[in-house]
Amino acid sequence: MSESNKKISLISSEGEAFEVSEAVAREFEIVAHMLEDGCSGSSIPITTVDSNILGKVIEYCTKHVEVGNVEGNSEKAEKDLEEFDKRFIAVEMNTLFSLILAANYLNVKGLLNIGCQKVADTIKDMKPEEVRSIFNIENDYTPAEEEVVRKENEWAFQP
Amino acid sequence: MNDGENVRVDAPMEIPKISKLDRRIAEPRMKKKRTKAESLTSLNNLDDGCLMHILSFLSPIPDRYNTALVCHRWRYLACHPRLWLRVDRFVKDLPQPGVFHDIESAVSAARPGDTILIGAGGNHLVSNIQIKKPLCLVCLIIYSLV
Repeated sequence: MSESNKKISLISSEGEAFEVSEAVAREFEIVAHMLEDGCSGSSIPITTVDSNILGKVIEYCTKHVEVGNVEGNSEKAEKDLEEFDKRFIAVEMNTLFSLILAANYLNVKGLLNIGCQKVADTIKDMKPEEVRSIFNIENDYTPAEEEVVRKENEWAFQP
Repeated sequence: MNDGENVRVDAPMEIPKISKLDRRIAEPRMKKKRTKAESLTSLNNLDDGCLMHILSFLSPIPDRYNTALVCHRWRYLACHPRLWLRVDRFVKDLPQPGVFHDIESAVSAARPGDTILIGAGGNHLVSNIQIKKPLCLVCLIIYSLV
């Protein structure tokens, strides 16, 4: 049990330290691998993630570890967690992108999945022009090229 | 006849619009919104792996296929053979990755969980085909499989 009480400091890109339990830190697969590789240090720099986002990722992992530790009543717990995820990911676009990037880098699969799912849900049923404007993507097609791709895609929809 | 000449009246329709716009621009709230929109990170800042992961959550047809029209990079990712394979009997040019002439070769090249699109047109004659992995075969349009 003593091992699970061990605290680890995760240092954000601004140098701010976030103290978490080892169980929470292990939710970051990148950290879990470091620990397995014998990294015994109690502070781990996460240089590419800022304090705001790192705090959020820790919040996500802490909740998931807490729920994972509760025994019994799993159906309710699962529902609660689903609700938590929904609320957690309802953030503005910039934060969502940063969370996806951080989840990808830190290898927090659950968070990566709900983040990507959220973006995919937004893209769904959208016209290409809408996708470009909502996600700030430059159209690098010339009108002629765009027509070629449109034609190419037609094969999928033609009767 | 004189009435006909009088019909041409240039209505200054634009004026009220412009003044409204001016007022809005002058509002500090509007200004804030503008700078926010400009600083929006582009989804294209995500790396290929992340973007492809996002696209993998879209239904192959029509949502994922449609995203090819967003820009060059999205077309490359949306049509990437990692996301699906295509059976198209009419592709005559140089072999493209992920495009096959018949269902058999697409099935044998596919990995578990892959989506194989079967294009419209022509008959696909397939016999004695064994599928030993979970695959998603999307038949787009009416075609005959004997």
